[in-house]
Amino acid sequence: MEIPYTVSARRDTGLFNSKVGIWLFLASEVMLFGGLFSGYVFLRAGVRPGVDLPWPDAVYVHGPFIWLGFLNTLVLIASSVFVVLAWAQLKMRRYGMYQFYMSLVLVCAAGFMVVKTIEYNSKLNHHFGARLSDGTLLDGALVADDSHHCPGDYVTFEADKAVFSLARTGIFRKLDPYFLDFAVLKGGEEMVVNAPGGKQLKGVAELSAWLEEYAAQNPREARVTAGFAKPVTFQFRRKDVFGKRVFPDRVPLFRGNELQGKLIDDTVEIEVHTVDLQMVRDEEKSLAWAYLGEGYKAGYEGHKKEKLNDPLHRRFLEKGGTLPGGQLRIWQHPHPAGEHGGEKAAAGGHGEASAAHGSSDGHGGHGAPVVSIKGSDIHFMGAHGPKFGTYYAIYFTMTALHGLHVVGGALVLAYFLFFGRKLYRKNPEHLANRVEVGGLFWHFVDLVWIFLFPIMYLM
Amino acid sequence: MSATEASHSEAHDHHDGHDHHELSFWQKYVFSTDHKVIGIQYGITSLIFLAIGFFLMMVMRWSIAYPDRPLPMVGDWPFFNKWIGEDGLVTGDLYNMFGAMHGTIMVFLGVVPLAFGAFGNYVTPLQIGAPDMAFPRLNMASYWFYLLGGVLMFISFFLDSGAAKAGWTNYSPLANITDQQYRDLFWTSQTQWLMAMVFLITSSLLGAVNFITTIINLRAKGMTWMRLPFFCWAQLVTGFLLLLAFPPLEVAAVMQLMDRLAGTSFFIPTGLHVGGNMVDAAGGGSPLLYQHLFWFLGHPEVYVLILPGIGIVAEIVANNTRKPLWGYKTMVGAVMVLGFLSFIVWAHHMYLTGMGTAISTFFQTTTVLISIPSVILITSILLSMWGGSIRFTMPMLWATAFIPMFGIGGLTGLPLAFNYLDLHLHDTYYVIGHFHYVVAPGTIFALFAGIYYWYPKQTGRQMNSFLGHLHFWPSLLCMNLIFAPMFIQGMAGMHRRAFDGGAAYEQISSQVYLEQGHPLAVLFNAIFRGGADLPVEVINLNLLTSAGAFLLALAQVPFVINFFLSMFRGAKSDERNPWQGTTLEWMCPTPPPHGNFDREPVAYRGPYEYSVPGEERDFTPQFEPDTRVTEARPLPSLH
Amino acid sequence: MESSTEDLQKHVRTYLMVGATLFVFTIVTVLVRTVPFFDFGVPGVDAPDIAFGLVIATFKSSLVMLIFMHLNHERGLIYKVLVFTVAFAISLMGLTLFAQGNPIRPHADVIEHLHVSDVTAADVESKAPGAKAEPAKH
Repeated sequence: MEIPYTVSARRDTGLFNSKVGIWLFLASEVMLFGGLFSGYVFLRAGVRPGVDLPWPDAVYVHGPFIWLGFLNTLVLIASSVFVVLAWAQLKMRRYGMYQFYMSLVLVCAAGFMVVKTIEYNSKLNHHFGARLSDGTLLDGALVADDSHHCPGDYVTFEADKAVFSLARTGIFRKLDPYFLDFAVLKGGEEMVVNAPGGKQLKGVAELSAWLEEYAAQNPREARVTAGFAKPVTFQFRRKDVFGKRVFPDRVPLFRGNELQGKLIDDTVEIEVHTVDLQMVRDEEKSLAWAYLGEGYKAGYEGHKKEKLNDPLHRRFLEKGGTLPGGQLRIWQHPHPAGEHGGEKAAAGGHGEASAAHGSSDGHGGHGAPVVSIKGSDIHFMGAHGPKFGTYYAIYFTMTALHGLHVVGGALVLAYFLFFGRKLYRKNPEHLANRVEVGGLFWHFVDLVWIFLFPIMYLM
Repeated sequence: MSATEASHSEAHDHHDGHDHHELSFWQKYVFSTDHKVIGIQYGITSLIFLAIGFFLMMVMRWSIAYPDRPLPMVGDWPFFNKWIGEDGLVTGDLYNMFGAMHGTIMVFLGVVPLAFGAFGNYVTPLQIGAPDMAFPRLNMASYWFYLLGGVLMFISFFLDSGAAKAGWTNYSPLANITDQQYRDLFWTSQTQWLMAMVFLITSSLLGAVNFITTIINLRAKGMTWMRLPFFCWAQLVTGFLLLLAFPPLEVAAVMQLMDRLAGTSFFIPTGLHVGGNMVDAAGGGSPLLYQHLFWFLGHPEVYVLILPGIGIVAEIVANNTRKPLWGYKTMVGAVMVLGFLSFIVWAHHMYLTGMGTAISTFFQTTTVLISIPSVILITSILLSMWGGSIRFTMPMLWATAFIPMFGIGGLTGLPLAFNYLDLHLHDTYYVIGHFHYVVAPGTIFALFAGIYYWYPKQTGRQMNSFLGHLHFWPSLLCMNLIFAPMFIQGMAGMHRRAFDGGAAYEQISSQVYLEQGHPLAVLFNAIFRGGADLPVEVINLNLLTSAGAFLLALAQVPFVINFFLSMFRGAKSDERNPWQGTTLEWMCPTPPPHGNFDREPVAYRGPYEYSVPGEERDFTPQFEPDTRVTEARPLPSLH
Repeated sequence: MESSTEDLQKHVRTYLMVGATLFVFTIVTVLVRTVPFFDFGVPGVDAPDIAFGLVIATFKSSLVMLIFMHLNHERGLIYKVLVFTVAFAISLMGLTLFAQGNPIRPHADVIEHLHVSDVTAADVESKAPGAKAEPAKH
């Protein structure tokens, strides 16, 4: 049995099967990206000034990335030309030239993904921002330390009491006092717990065994509280804390576990490149100045005055226009380190790292100010990953989906390149059809990027 | 046409050579690329899921009817006792979980795969005269994606967090914040629901591409668009609905997945607090965006559920009334208009989300408009029966019952289209009654009709008629016992999501429906309340509904027996055309071999040439050449 | 599309021209955003900038569709599919935005009761659980 019209076109529709198929698939892709673009417009148009986090101001945030996006646009356009040339060569039955152009397509695809990786890496691992409780946004880079984890991720807590959940977890229904693993024990001393009933339990193993026993004996109880004989210090990454929030006297943990005691340290060190006051009601009283010092406040005022004196700006303001994107309320460090990538940032920040809390008047020409922000002042923080506001969410979702399309398309085209010869010998038209269909998909991927580039990088 | 012919004869030259080399068991029955085997795989898998969905519903119905009595029989099952409350009662959590999964399983794993995957796969290529689907391997992939999604959905019951419990619509931000107490959010209910949905959507997209291509490009010689059986038209439009409506849901699923796993706030508004604490998210998202994306699929999905059913019923009605389908061209037009309009009505599910009057008016208008093509379809089928000599075969019984049942479902939807009435009826049992009338006694009856109709084609045996009646009549009765009281409860204002059946909302649920001493009240009390002399309140109707549900389960037993027994013991109907049908599937051997046809199928005429005046027989199949017609027509008076 | 080698050679030239045009317009769109001299309207991103960027992107994408994807001479069936698809995509975006731009507003009487003259839907929404709702004065 053979399926008709795999190679030749059907008379009345004028199409071979896979061409109908790919156009239908592209139609569904139009709806997929249509949905995502709708989401983009919906989220962007839905930002309520003063309530929601504003979309990042293009000049300050996209600046370094415009050129990466620009490069990628050119790369994809080139690959689109190459793929159509490869098809034309195949139609002219020049297999060698087909191979040449198709290889160029794959090189372009690889190049695109490399640039994308650089960009993602910079956003995810270098850029970092914190929105303070009064709406101030301090943007810049996290001060890196020797370990791979960012120090801003850690919370140190001295506990003298623990609430153990008796909820069973997993399909094997075991108890899971996972947080005990985060205890930092000084001088090799054992963790000792005073269990209810006067028992003293040493070490995690003994404690776990007792918990199992206790839970079995008291099936109706949801949790049990026990004190530590000596206060135990715990160090958590924030993702291990329920809701990522700690309090001065307790750390809520997953599944209803909790530690009670004293918060030692939850400060975050940030190298500040940008102060964004769009969400602040009173610029004068912004928390930014408490951390950065009055010198920076004066700098900010000067910067604002300068902007107002700029003839272009003034003309619009005199005409009664308002400036978009809160441009007047953003101040940027004159020479932010690591503007083009992220390699320099760590070096730039290190020297200043000790310049703590509110005393960083003396920034040199090379170093941006470094501040240690108290956890309680931070409303929300994170790298410029998908978490960091709706712009980043839609940016990462769309570009990652687009990247997946690039990878998928490249794999298919690579298959046609490396395993096409046999089919070419048997029926060159069949291979040409396949390349045409693969090419249609590739052009679509290019098409999506043609829209993604301006809306994500330029607007 | 010569090219068509040439390639077909070429296909048949190859045919013999290919068919003889033996396929292993795995290639033939498991990893098959044959559309019929895939259709049967879809059919059996989806029937299993329908049974699972039905079981979940029975647990829920028990809780609604008897919130204070322990769950009988199944309460001790492993994993079941994990969620069950003290004293064996169904907890609110369990009810939410089963409610969400009942909807999900029935819609995405039960009815759509059965209607589109199973019947579409099995019947469509046969009816258009194609040797197989246009992309057989894609077809196989589509089934396996479906199975993967289904298995993932099913094993989510056994996760630590249990299965999804934020409703089958999975609304944000509720679905975002569920399970936040688990450290590993990936292996939690809502996340796995989304993962499974991504697989199911992929499966549907592949299926849709394949179906549409097949219908467009693989029609047999002479099978022009206006000779296409109506079932294929319905499948074509369904394919387009799946193709274009599912991607926005995929977007919603991806965004929600990002919200859960990457911490984005697509659907998390600024300042969202849960349990007194601010959610750790940037905010700025919009829960309404989720609803728009979801219902952009959600409404066309309703037509995905119903159109194949209407297609099946149209085939069966034409066959059993021995008359052409009334208004075939109008029906084709109506189904296309229906498909088009179904894309611009979605926000009538969202009247209560704070939409303004202008946009509500728009969606209200389109929603009322879409009832026109639906009514055209049903009226055409009804009119087809007018004056026919109807054979009440098993398939025809189900098809006949479909018409009023779907009619009730459709007409009760009209009040919901008007936003001011929807204010009262939204999220009440009325809505449940409405869409279940459309899907349960509607679509599922049509699917049963289809099973009884095409069963002889695959097995060469008829299904037993006595067991069939034993299946049909109780099912019809129970379906109405279940869903009719819901309209009363809904109009009284009972909310649809109460796990105790509304006992907690006494003001509403204790409204008297039948006065004390009313003859029906006496009858009701005699059956359900040991003859107590009490008025019947709307909450008491739960007893009726639940009894109907349990009886409906019993009524399916004859079907299961019939389905398996008839394979070996059913009356033989070895001939190719047991129902004296006219469409091309009755031309190929029984059961159809790989490649389907043993001679080239050609369509010489329209699909429903029944009782053509002057013909010897009361049916003139599409595949029989024109000879007799041209002779007979000029000389009708000779007879 | 059956074409002779000469035809294809001609096509190849067209493809290269189109590629060059796409390059040029990409450069234009970036220049407009990065060099203040070319900026439309207010400095920074504003409506004219967005409109200009989208017009260029639409132009570029139509070139890709018409020439590279051969939509300048395709079969009727494909146009039909695409027309419906685009219609539905536009309805998805358009109606969603329509719904966003047309929320319920508090009735005039209600606003009077609140003694707030300029209450917008956004304000009402922002008094979400987190923020303390102002008690309505009667």
